[in-house]
Amino acid sequence: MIETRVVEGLPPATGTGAEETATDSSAEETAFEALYRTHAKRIYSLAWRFTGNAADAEELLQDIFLQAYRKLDSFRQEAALSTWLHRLAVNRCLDHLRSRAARQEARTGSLADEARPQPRARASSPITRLDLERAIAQLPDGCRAAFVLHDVEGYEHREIAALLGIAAGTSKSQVHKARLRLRALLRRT
Amino acid sequence: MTMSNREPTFGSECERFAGVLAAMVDEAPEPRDRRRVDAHLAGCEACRELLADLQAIRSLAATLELIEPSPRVWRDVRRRVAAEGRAPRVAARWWSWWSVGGAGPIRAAGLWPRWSVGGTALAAAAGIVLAVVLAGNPDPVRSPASDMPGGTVLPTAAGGLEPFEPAYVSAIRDLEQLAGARPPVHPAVQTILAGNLAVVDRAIAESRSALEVAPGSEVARDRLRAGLARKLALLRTSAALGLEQVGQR
Repeated sequence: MIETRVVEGLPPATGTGAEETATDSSAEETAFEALYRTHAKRIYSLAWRFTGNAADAEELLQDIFLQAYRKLDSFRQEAALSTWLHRLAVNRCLDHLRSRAARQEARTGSLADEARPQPRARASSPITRLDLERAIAQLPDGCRAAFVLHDVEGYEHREIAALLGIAAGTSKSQVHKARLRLRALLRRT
Repeated sequence: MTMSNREPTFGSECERFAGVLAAMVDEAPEPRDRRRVDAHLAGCEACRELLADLQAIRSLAATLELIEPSPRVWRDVRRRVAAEGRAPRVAARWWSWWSVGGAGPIRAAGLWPRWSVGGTALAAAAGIVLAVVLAGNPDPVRSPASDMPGGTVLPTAAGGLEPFEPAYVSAIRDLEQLAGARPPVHPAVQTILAGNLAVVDRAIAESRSALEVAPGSEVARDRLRAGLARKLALLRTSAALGLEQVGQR
């Protein structure tokens, strides 16, 4: 009888078993895509400002989300997912800067020249965000990280100190040096 | 933000205030320093300009806009994630935690769908509908396009929701009306079919919610289309069962 065949052929309404595992995977993919679309812009912006170029920032963005994907199973709600992801991104960006610094020591020149402001002639023109973005890209890696984290991302000096493995006073000093150098760069524009 | 083109010079006294000026960019000076630094600033154009410039840089930095990554990055991430696969690990349903406690702004805004329920519902829908279709149809797994009445070819997902959803909604409505006009099938079967339809409807609703959160999600769009196709198949099966039962009477 058709009724008997259909009734017996139906799995439990709770849908446990292989089908659920497969669909869990699909739901996970959807959620992961939503996670990406929610946070990609902020993380990409962070990576762009840390690296100063689009190619490295895109590579970092990929790496960060892959790393997040691999580690998501270990996420245990000790912090908001957005906080966890952002912290992961900052750490990955810092790793990138450290490895780049090891490769290119030439770019980590002394900031002594900027420690004392050097007035120079420039046209009086409005400074735009784009000018500032370009100037940030020219900062040395060390003070750029502290500046981006503090002035752009809003981290406290004690948080930056913990992330960078430096003293809070050093973080303040790095941010100030970055601002002085930015001023010098912007006055040239 | 502008910076002056004049050439003020720093005097020897400026050196003593350098540290206070640096701190003043972020916070007001201690009261005991306030009077001294104010007096210095009143007579030192170079330090006034320096302080104003540094404060302007800080203010502007806080307003920098987010930068949109290339769509290529997500495609690469998706490809690399797919290449890694999930088989070696037990799915831990991190996305259900997100719905419970970690969704941050999305959850706070009430926008995030209940993924754990969605996953279960979708799983149930997939399993149930597949079983029903297998039981009543020798051609069990078909594309949404081949499910359309009269062999209508559906547009691809690339065109967004609009191209395919109205056609499904129309076909589903017709089948529902047809089912309503027929004598009911066996009560036990009818109960199961009604339950299955509810599960499919829930999966469809949750796919729509997912698309509201992530309108560009191809996966969510595919899920919605699959849900609609499953509902159509379920209604067809229901109608076929009704016809078969009528023939047996």
